Amino acid sequence: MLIRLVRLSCALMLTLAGMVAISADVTVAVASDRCTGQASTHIVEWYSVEPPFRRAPLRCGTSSYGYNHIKSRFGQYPLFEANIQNTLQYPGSWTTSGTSVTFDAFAQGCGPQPYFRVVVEYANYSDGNPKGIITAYYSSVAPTNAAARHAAARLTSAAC
Amino acid sequence: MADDGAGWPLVAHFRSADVGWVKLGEFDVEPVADESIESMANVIANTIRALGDERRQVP
Repeated sequence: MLIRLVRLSCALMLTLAGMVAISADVTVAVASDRCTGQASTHIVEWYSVEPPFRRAPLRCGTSSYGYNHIKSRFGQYPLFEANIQNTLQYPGSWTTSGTSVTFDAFAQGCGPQPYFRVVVEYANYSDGNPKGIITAYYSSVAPTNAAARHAAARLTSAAC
Repeated sequence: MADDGAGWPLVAHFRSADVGWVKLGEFDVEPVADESIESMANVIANTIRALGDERRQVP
């Protein structure tokens, strides 16, 4: 009887430990959303961009741009932040349209498409900084710079 | 719908062929630095263009 009680309490402790672990995971998952309770203009991250372009902020944004847009559409892919940084810092090509710039590069890691695209809006918000990254996604559009393509291809094959 | 007192709606909806129905407020146009109509319109147009390209590649 005593043994049974001990076994029961051990099982209960294990169960409680499991529950604690589960609730800890949930807490971490919620905390990892970097825009919970933040204004849409809050800057989550700054990214270096190849000269002559200024560095670009990633703002919390809305369902139409920024962190919230990107996370809701593409949050399931690993290496997403690394791909944003790589594409902005080492773009294979870019095109400008008014105050926005579209950067293309080879994707790092294994994604649904071989290339990666980041679109940045450089018009300033009232805080004096650009609106920043509108969107970022795996793309089917190849960058036009052969040297960048070659370097990125090596990264891709190494990561896969 | 609420208005600004002069009959203009505070929240506008419009339709883009690429993106579908969108709410003006979703684009955060108010904080653009110089607050000119041209700047706001450009930022909205650039955002819609970017989303349109994205939807064509990632349906």
